[in-house]
Amino acid sequence: MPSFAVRPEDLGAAAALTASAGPALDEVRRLVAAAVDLAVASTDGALAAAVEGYGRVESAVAMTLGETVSVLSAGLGVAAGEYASADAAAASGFGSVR
Amino acid sequence: MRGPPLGGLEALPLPGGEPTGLWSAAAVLRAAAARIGSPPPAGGVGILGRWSGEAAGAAVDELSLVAALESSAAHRLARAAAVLGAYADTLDAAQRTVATLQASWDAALPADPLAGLPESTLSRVAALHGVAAAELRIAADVAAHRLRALVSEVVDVGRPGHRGPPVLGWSDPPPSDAAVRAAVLAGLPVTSGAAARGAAAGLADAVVRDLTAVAVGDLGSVGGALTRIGTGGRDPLVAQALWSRLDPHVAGRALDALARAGDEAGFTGLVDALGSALAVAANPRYAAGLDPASRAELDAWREPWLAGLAASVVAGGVAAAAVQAALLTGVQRVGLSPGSRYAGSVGAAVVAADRALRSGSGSRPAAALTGGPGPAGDPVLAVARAVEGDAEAARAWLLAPVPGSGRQLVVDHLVAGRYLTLDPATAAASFAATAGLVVTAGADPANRNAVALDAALLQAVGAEARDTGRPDAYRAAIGSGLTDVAAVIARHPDALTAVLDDSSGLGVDGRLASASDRLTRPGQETGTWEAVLADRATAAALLGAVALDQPSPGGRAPAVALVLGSLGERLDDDLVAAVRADHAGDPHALDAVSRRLGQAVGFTLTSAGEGLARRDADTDARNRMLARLLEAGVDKVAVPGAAGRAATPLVRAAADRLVAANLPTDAEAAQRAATRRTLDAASEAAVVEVRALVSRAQPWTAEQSPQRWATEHGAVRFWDDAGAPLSESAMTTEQRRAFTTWRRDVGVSVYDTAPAVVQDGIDAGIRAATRSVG
Repeated sequence: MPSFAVRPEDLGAAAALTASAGPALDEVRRLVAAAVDLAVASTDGALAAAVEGYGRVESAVAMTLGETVSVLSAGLGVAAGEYASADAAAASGFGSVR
Repeated sequence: MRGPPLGGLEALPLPGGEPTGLWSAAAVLRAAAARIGSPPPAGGVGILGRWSGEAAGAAVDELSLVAALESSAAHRLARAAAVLGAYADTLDAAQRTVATLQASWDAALPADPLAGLPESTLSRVAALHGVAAAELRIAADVAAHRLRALVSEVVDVGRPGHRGPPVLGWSDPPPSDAAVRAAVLAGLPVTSGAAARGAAAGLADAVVRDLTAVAVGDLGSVGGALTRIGTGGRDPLVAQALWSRLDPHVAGRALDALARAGDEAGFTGLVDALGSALAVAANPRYAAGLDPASRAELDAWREPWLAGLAASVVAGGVAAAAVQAALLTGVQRVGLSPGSRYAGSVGAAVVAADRALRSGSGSRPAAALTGGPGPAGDPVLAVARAVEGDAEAARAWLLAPVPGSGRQLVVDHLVAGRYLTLDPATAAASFAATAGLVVTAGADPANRNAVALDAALLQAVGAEARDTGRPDAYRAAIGSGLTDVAAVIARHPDALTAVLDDSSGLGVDGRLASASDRLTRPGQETGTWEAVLADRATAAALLGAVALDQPSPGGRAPAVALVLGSLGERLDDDLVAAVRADHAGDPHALDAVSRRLGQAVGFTLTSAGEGLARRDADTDARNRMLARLLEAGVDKVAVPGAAGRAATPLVRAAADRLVAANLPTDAEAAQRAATRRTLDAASEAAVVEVRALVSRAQPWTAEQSPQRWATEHGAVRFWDDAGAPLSESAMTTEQRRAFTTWRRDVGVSVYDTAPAVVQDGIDAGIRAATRSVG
């Protein structure tokens, strides 16, 4: 009976936790947009333009990070699924069984 | 009525803006920062499955990096909130100050509309208002600057090549979404790779649609396909995406349609584009620059893909092989290699399909792509040419078993079976290409596969030369490749000498031995390998085949001379070592090496002569060749190169003695006389050469050294800078006499015994060789 470097359920949990960052980043984008709307309505001139520019950039950052989190959590999920379904012989082929 | 104040102000304007809104915005930004919360739990988690190994490590690192980026974003949001909050405070204070000043202004105004204005008081209040307004403008500018600085933390506007200050200016537009995305992904190779794979998939889908249209007759769609692929075929992600979607049959039909329509530009362009993608997808070497996760995914995909492709070629027969051949012409044209994995699987499958066709179990479809007979339409030659610049791929291909043939290797089929069903020109081109590939791919003695390939070629040539039922066809097929075969033999002089030793052959378990075990054994030097020839009969047939190379007089050296040169070099070294051993007390070493010399050279020449005799069905042909070797002497057995020059006298001596032993008894008197004269000269040259080898071994003590002897006897110097006596042919008369006197005085008897032992050994070896060949 091999002992595994990491339990499949831990991988699954890690994937779920990582994936949870995605909705949080979506929420961040929504909040940033709301803050920009409020600020632009409350000031004018160069400051309003700077607020708008900053908000756009931060939203783009959040969107890109959300995509990153999605890719990485999906990878973790695939890894967890494949690892959990592998029998001992196949698992030893992964090179991650000790 | 009085007029307005001198400053022109009727009332003090209230600064614009809503502090409350700004405070709310700041609060929302703080909420956003808090929403990001804790970073993803990436640390210490091992990622397995398709991301095991290096990719898993990279992904874990990237998760940590994403967490850091999220923390940075949260920190920026908090600071932006602070900026807005601070400005809101300043705005609120300014608005309050202006309200207070307005009250003072109003209080200073006289109630009587006709009374004069307190200009000095109003002016002071207006000045204070101006100060408050200016301070607010500065605060707004500072806030804007700080927000632009936060943007610059994401997209480095101070990067090399950027002109101006490191923070966005007033008139600079904010970075585009694409620029922000690129900046964030720049440090995230795994995610970038995933994004690139997504883009590649989209491109590949479109290309496959175009090619499917071409395959059903919409030839104009090839332009769209080529435009989309562009140079993307050299991108491993695009290559993988394309070939994971593109059915080779569809590619083949598209190419066939273009060929039938005479669209040469479209055909060539598509062959090059798809060929590039084929090589890049198949060859792991081209995935070197990918992020670890993309590389792991490509690696996991490649093997099953190649296995499926190989199976489809075997099942699809010559039509499927022709598609691969067409693509491989593109691979060769663009200077890529499909790599060893492709060569050992799909390349071998092409050979299997060709073999089936030529054995009558396959059929040639009437497709434009498959071409007609002749080298230009030969799919096997296309494989050979595609791998000729990649030694590892060439070895993998030639040493791969032919699918469906049992244990037959590709090299066996190409050398020993294929010529039977080919037209003469294609047969010759096929053999020459194979031999040329082996010459370039098998040169490394430290690489067992390289040595096995050499041995496989030699074994196959020898066995076919021995057993073929169509000797004329075989001689015609191998003629242009014989110098390459000789070059391969010349790399393995020990294989020739070892085949004369029965104990070096396979044991009782020979049928169970793997190809590597069958074809190689450890070399004399640690870490090297030596080729194994199966038996004397095969080796003799091989040498007989090499003898068929007979260039016109005055041209290049015959192939057999290459073999003799290699033998001479090896046996030279062995003789020097034997003299040293003799000096050290091993009285049999010199005798053993001498016999080996005679046996090896005798075997080589006898086998060569037999080859000619068989060709001409006339034993006199053998005798004529041997006689010519002797009469022309040095010309016919001239051994090229520096090593050859040193070896020539010994090899020639052996050859001379062999010729003398084999000349027909009814040979003409003049010929026999010439033989004897040449033999005497060659024997003397051999004696001198053996003495030179003895000198190289320096078999004397310090007390016996030439230097000490010459000092004591006042003799001239007759040795070189290394302390060994000069070559006798370069000595002056005085030096020769000093050399002779020194040998006799100090008693280095090996100078006298070695030549005699060598001569005897040669005679004994030749007798043994003649028996084994005859």
